[in-house]
Amino acid sequence: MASDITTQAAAESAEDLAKRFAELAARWRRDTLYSSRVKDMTDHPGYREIVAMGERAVPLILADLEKEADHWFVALYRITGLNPIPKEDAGKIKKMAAAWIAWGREQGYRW
Amino acid sequence: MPFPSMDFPNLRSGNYEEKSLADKRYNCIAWAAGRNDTWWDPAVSEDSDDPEVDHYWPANAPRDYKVTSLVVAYESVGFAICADGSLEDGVEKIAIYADGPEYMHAARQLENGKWTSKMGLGVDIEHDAPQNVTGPRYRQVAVYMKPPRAKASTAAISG
Repeated sequence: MASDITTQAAAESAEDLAKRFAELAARWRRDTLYSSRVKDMTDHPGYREIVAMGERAVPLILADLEKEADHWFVALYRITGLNPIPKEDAGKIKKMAAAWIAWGREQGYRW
Repeated sequence: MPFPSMDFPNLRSGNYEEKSLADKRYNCIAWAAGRNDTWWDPAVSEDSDDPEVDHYWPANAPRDYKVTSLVVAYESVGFAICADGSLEDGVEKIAIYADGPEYMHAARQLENGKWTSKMGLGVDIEHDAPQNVTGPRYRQVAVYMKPPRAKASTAAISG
């Protein structure tokens, strides 16, 4: 299933991928609005589908993160295998987002 | 904005009031402990060997969603299990909501006897009783905790 979605993402145009990302993100936000647990957010099917998009989702996530600090940290970790968040910033959502945005710019992502 | 009755059948106009704008910087678990600048969560990234890189969680509490682990987390900032949510002068209690062994939500009692809940990623509300936010989403109150009487308002905030 995940590999099918990843293959789909690789074949999609940038425009279609961005549209699908936006739809999945909107559904994820709507369904998890009242959740206080990260696990509930990262287990959501829409979130998992975005993770399965792979590396092409990274600039889309970073753009979204720049607009509004949100719980994309697990997705970014699952896609990249990295975590640039300093230990002292654990739980500080805006600083966690800023760390990933800075990482994205250092890596040359454009959004 | 009204809360969906399918999730919160016991929240009705008249028994709660919105008190803030939506804010994703903190969750109900932090809010119940008196914090509004941090997201308290035991989640760790899959395969991560360094749990500290994720969200804030008190160091001595097990990193899982069990009620017992949340109790340890709140004990680390001065709370102790108590019998019920009755109002005691100068004491702001915490109610932990659970679905079986896993916690789902936490609310904090106010000096006026009402309760305050951070509703997920959304707003803070003030509600009349702990039972107002029970239902399919947050389930039932499983545990009440209270701070030491002498440090009723400061124990959590200093944690």
